[in-house]
Amino acid sequence: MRQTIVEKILSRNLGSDVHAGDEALFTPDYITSYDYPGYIDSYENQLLNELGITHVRHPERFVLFIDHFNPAGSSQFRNVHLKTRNFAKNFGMKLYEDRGIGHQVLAEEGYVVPGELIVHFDGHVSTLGAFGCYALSMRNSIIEAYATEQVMAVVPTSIRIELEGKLDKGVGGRDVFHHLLKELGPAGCLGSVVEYGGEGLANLALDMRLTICNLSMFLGANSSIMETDDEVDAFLSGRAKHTYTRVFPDEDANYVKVVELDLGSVEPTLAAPPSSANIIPIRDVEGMPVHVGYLGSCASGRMTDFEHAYEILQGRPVANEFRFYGVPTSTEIQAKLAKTGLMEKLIASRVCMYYPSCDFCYGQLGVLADGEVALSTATLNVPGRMGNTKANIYLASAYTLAASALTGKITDPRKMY
Amino acid sequence: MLKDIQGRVAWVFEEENYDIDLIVGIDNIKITDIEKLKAVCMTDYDSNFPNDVKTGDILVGGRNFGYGHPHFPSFKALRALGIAAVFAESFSPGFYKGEIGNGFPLIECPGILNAAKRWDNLSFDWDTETVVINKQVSLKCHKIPQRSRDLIEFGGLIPYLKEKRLKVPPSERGLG
Repeated sequence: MRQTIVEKILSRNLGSDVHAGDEALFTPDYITSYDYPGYIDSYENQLLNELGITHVRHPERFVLFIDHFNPAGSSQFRNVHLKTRNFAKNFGMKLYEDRGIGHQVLAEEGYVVPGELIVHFDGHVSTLGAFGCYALSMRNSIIEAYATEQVMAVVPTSIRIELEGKLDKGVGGRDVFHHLLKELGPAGCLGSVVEYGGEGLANLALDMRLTICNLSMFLGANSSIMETDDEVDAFLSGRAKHTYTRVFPDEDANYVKVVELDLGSVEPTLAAPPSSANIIPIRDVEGMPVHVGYLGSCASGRMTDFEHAYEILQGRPVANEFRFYGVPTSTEIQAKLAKTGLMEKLIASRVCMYYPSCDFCYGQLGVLADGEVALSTATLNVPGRMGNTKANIYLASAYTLAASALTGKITDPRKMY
Repeated sequence: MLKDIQGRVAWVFEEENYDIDLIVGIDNIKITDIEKLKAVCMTDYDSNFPNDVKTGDILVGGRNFGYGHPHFPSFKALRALGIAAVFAESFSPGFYKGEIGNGFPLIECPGILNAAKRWDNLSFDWDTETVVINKQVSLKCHKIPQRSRDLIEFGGLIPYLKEKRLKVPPSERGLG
């Protein structure tokens, strides 16, 4: 029987052929987590005190990140960081701190290559599917991976997205995802891996692919995965810790459905409150006042996103009384922004350029006032997400954010060239 | 042995893509005190809910139940009130993984939304994976993964790992 990409990855992992619906014990290439109260500290407690496990067999398979509450605004959170540092040290696990958001840094450090199985508790680990690996969120079941270095899982079904054409100016990766979500609905890929390929994939910058994969949970999906190409090879060159081969499905692999998407038909859209699934065309809210902008998070905040923002800003300052937070996803991106001069240009346009951190995304920094409206390129717009249930968050591309920042109102970026 | 599920339908969530944070309400999502959580649980839907439910009651949901960005407090509150299982058309993967990890039965049952109404009596047979409503209507459920059955039987991740997974030496489970 012919196989999808995820069936191939899991077959190789297991050492024997599996297909959708099969349940088996798989061995992740990497087990990763970020520090957050109630997560790594709980795993440490469960390992030591409930399971009596004081060491892991393959510490090199574990990679931990301090990227939330960073820099810590109170000693309460810093104490959690130090506990995690200590746990990593005692178990011999690699820990990255002050390097940016884990989902990005894991790739920058070369851990992620096509064909791997990577597990995390967090759903946005699906971002890494853009590198042709199967990145699986386990929620609190990640303790299973910490304790046994294996995971019992059912091989998921796949839905194939066949991309063709190319995006118009002013249309970003976020718009591609919104287009799919509008077409398929929030249960449109329920339980399946969303597998992207086709000739159009080469027309999407890697950073845009990361955005598309990041958001897969909002399609009800298990994860996302993409075919790999020259652009992925170029990124991994000089970084990859392992040799790899590109991933493709077999020609007549079995899909729940195949969806064709012409990138040329994608238009700017927003996710309106209260849900990431509430997709509206930009014309529905054009002219609506907005007060705060946030470009960042694991869903965005990469070089391409800042380049898109500057393509619109072009040295013009953002509107009076509009706050625009620019948060690079990693220090590597931050350094590149500085080196290319883009950082200086963004600052000249009055973008508040910040240090890589997850904290703007979930209301730890840059919180909203009552009644404020934010436009964000980040992950979620549920009430309270940016620290205030009485504020509204709209999600959009970096293009739409930059265009709206210039006018202080929701503005179609295609009108700003 | 998997415990029998037999109880009244305490609520039917008819919404597709239901956001479970609404069970305690977004404003209460940061409450950690279990008594306070119980007191606000489902009161946006029925102010008497915390008093009317009893141990063993179950919930019924629609398609993609648990969609969005679910937090723990809602199901902590429901479990503390005695809710014993959720039967839904289907579950959002992230929510499913989280709650199954607690050993809480989540069972996908196509047709349940149209078949069940509030306060119906519902029972579930683990062997045939069949739901019976008011001893009249019988519905076949989706196959339950073995891991989910084990997690429910052992009562959550830690006992499951202790009893089922860690007793097998690494060499015998293919871990080099």
